[in-house]
Amino acid sequence: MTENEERKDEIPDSREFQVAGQRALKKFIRGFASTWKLYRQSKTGLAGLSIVLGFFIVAIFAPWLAPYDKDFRAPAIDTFIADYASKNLTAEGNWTMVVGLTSPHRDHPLERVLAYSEDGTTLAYPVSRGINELTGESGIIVSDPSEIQLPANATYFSLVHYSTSFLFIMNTTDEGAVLYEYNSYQPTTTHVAFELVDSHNLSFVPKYNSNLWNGFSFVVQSARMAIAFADDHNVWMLNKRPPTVYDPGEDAVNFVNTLAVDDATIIGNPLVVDGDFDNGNMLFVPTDQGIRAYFLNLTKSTLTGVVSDITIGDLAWTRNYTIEDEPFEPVTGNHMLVFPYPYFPTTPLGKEYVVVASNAGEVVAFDRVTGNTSWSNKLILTGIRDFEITSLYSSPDFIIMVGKTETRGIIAGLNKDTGRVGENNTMFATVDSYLNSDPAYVSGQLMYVFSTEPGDIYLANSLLKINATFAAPGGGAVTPVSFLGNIYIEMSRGGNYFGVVTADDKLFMETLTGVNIAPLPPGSYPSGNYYPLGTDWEGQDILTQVMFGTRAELMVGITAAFFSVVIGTIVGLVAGFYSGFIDDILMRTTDVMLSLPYLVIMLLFAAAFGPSLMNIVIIFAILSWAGIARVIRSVTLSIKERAFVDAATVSGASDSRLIFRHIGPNVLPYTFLYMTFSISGAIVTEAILAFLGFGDPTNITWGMMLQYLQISGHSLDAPWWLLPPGIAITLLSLAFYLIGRAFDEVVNPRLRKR
Amino acid sequence: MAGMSRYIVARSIQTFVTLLIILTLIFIMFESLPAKPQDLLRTAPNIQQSQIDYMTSLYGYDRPVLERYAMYMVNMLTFDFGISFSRAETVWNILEDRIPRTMILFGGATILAYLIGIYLGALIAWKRGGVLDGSTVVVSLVFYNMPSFWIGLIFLVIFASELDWFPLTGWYDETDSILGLDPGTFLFKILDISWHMFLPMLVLLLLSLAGTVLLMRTAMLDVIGENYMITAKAIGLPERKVLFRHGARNAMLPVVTSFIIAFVFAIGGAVVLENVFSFPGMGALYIQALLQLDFPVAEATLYIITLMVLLGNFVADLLYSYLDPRVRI
Repeated sequence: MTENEERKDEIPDSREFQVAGQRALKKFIRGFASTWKLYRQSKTGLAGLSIVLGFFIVAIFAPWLAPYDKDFRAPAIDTFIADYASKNLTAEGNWTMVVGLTSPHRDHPLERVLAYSEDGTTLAYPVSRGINELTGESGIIVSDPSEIQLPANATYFSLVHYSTSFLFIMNTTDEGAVLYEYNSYQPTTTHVAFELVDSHNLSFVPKYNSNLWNGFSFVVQSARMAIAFADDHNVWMLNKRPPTVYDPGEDAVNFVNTLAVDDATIIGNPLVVDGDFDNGNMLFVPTDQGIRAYFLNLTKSTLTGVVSDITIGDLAWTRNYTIEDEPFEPVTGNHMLVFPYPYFPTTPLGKEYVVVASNAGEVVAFDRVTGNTSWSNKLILTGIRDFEITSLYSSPDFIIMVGKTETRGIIAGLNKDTGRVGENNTMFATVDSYLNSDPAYVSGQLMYVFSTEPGDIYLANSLLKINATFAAPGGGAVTPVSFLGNIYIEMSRGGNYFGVVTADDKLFMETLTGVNIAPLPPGSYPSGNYYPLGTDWEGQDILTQVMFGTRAELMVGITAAFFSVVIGTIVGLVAGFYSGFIDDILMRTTDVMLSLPYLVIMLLFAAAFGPSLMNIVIIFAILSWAGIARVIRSVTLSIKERAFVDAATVSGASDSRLIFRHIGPNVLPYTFLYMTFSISGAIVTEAILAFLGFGDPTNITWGMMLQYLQISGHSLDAPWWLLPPGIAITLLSLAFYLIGRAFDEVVNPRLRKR
Repeated sequence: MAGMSRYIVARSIQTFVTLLIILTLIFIMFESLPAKPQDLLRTAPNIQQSQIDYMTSLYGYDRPVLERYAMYMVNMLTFDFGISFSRAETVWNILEDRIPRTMILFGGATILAYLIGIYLGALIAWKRGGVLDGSTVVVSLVFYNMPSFWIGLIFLVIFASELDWFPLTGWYDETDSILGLDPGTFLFKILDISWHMFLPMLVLLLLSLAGTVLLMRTAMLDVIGENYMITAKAIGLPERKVLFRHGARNAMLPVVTSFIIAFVFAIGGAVVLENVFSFPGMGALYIQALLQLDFPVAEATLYIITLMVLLGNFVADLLYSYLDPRVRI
């Protein structure tokens, strides 16, 4: 070896490298073998090592070992206890919608549920309230259906309570379309159930229709209702009123009007506003040249108040699509124009307006009477960068916006007077895919229900926060979800049901009030899943989380300990080698570091730097190298006295060579030793930081699991959630500690005889 | 005692200098936090710029760094902590109730842990190799590696929630009924506080005990092999005397050193446990202040905690020098 040192300037040839490499390898293997022989004499050491190896295996093979996928959530049927009913569909058909039929009487209880298929086959199921045979609790009872034939290919299907109940069904043919009026399920004095009462021919096939909300007409008091249909250039409007004492008769009085729009193309839904307003009732038509507002002329007898005619009058105003003189491109389609009306439509707001959205995410309101801008707003959704508005709806409290990003669907609530998305732009929710139903508002429960394309059903509260998600059993929903009605008293909280047809040809109904019983204790559940350690409050399987968390734990523990030990070793080596001033400074620093309450300061750093695993590693490394430095320094001091160091110094070795080539390798065993203890400490420290709220929310670790437990408020009643992460932390930390102790006996022979 | 007063003086100076360094470090760290107090003010919806300017000058954030540093050092050393950001009261008001609570909880647990731990550690080292030795070591090892808050939660679940022996939260509750005593009396207050503090102190005690027993045992085993111990036994001194007068007294040296380290560690444990048991002490305040970015309160709490730790170190060092004259040189 000395030969090599003298010829330092010569580049060694490859064979010398080979020999040197082989020699180093042999030395390493010999050292390792002797260490192992000593190590395995300690039973605790072997125990520790095997536990650590076990955790490593779990960490590496977690995706195959864990019972569920990393993002798995228990299905709603396990976590959400709600009354439901499921009935076979007794006929064949391509089912396209489910409609709830409510009674015209005061509280409008739900009494029939219709399943409609494309060819017109309709099954009407009578429903009522009673004791559910499955649960023994009060719930919905569904009786056997009767089959009726309705017009096929309905593109518009709506129930209106009006003096009795009517079903309006629009059926398209090649030449045009027909609007059919059917009596609802209750026979009247003149009509039987589901009897065709009237029909109207349209000369065109409509693309758009005016919104009727929840089957109520606009003018409840006079029971006057209006619907309008439009295609590119035509508008067809039907106004209806019941017979009065002055013109008694059996049937309602209809007023039909048409409007041709030749110089522009209609791009969205027409709106009829018949609210008995002082400044006139109106028809709004959105075209590509702007919104056109027409007066509706009501010929009303001043004596009797009976309306004898309704016609479309003059153009009241037209309005280009501009916000503060800047043109915008409007969102088009069947839900582009909305009139935010109050719950009781006859209460005039005094500030009525129609609302349109733009493709750039703006919403603007035009005054009903003048067409001037009432307000406009550029929508901000906190945390969402690019989104598109698809449609607008009206609900009693807000304007509801349905939109989408590239991958997710959005539902948002806009303030009716400003267009803002709630106070801090947070009144919205995003879901996994695009909505495929109109969001229905359930007034008795202050909730919205809607579904998305894959057939998932969502419940959102009145502030647009998602309360529950369902995948309907039997493969999911094939029809858009429909709010059916209430089988109890209208305003009570229970009894509201939604309905869908499921992929296995069943009619499925479930109540909107349910109880979320997550976290679930270990066991088997209705979905057929078995959760060996139960779930947390979001429905994630505990065992899966513990297994996947092993990776982050090991990574954090080992990395943090590694850096901490590296810093400590270097400091200790330098301090021990250069005694004197450098030693003094370094040791004073070490003393100061040791006397700091390190957890408290770590919290400060964590609060400052922000939550991330890398930050925790850095913080731990910065604050815990002191103990190791001390030990390494004293070891360095003792090694410095040994003969071979003198020999190397005499033969002209430089300082750095001495430190790293000669003293360093002899210090390494102590370094490894303290690294194991450091890993042990790092794991527990990370758990504490995560528990207090300073952990990394994007990477699940066992400490974060316990933090979620604490936050969810279930810390006292979910032992299956409390115990596994803590046991895992204790076990892993203990295992490294045992390895350290056993290794300690190898490195410090004095300890061996215990 | 030779050189004791000189040692005390030297150590005091060292402690004071360390304190200054730590204060400076705290100042630097708060300065380098990414969130400035002015930014926090801006999150309020209707705040005016003039109000922001007023607050800025009130708290002195518009002065240059060095001037603020000088003000800060003077304030800290005279215990003038200023006004809290999130509450409209002086920091000292908020702190003054909490300091004694944390001190009793944490100080009591640590002292008890050491007294018991030293005795127990020495005892099992003396009777080494038996079942008691093995089992105590295993139990201590397990407790030593448990996260403190987890044991706290488990104790809460078992003793407070299931068995209902102890209250779940808090420090003192006038609505409790203890032995039919009148809530106003001193005896009631003592008993009620002890009842509330029992669980957190028990948990802290167990945690500190684990480390102490292990350390004492190791130190004791080292000492037992020494020649003077064999001599003492050979002369015929009674076992108890050999064990405690000669053995333990020498073994206590590394234990007292570790008192410093474990004291530091236990402070962290107390901070976490206060959170778990909803104990209204300094640790809970510290975490709350950090999460709310309430700088004056966080700085003051950190300072007080560090001060306590430094004083603890100081006392420990004095104790150590009393026991081991070699240190005083």
